Amino acid sequence: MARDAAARLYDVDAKSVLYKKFKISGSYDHGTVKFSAKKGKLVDLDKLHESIWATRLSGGTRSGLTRLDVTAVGAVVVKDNKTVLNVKGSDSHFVLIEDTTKEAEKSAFRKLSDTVKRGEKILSVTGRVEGWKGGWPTVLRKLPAKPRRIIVTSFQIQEALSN
Amino acid sequence: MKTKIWGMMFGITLLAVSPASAQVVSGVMTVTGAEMH
Repeated sequence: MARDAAARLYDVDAKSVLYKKFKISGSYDHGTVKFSAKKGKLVDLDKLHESIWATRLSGGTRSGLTRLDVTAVGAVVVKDNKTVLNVKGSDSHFVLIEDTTKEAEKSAFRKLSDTVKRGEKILSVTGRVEGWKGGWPTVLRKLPAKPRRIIVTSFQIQEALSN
Repeated sequence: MKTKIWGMMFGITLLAVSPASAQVVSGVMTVTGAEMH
């Protein structure tokens, strides 16, 4: 199960893992599994994918992943016309993109781009990870393509912390 | 001995060229279905 798959990762703070059921229906229900890294650690998305795969979730149950939202901390730079988040404490990065379907999220990406252009520093970015969606076991057959792309939904400016 | 050294070098090279996995501080998986409970 996704909750256990997240909780057994070494870098995940097991106490942070919280499953919340939406209670929309009686049987096949939607819910969220929240997780956070241990202090000073980062959660590796490849390892999370591997851990969910290890649960051997079967098909034909209308069970699956609707979306994966993440928060990553680091510096945002524009390079080769791409907006990139270089993850703090790691050599990994995310390519940041806008949602072309939802106006609110498109706006979030544009606000982030404007903030970077003004020279303000971004502390963290939150958004939906592209490609992490689908029914079991199809969504788990292979790792989503790299570099990982985040559809930006919100972000935090570094100066905001000092207020 | 030579084979072991070449094996180690090959492993190190693989590590060096593998793209780093993206890492996050927190996340929320939205899931559906009985198997997710």
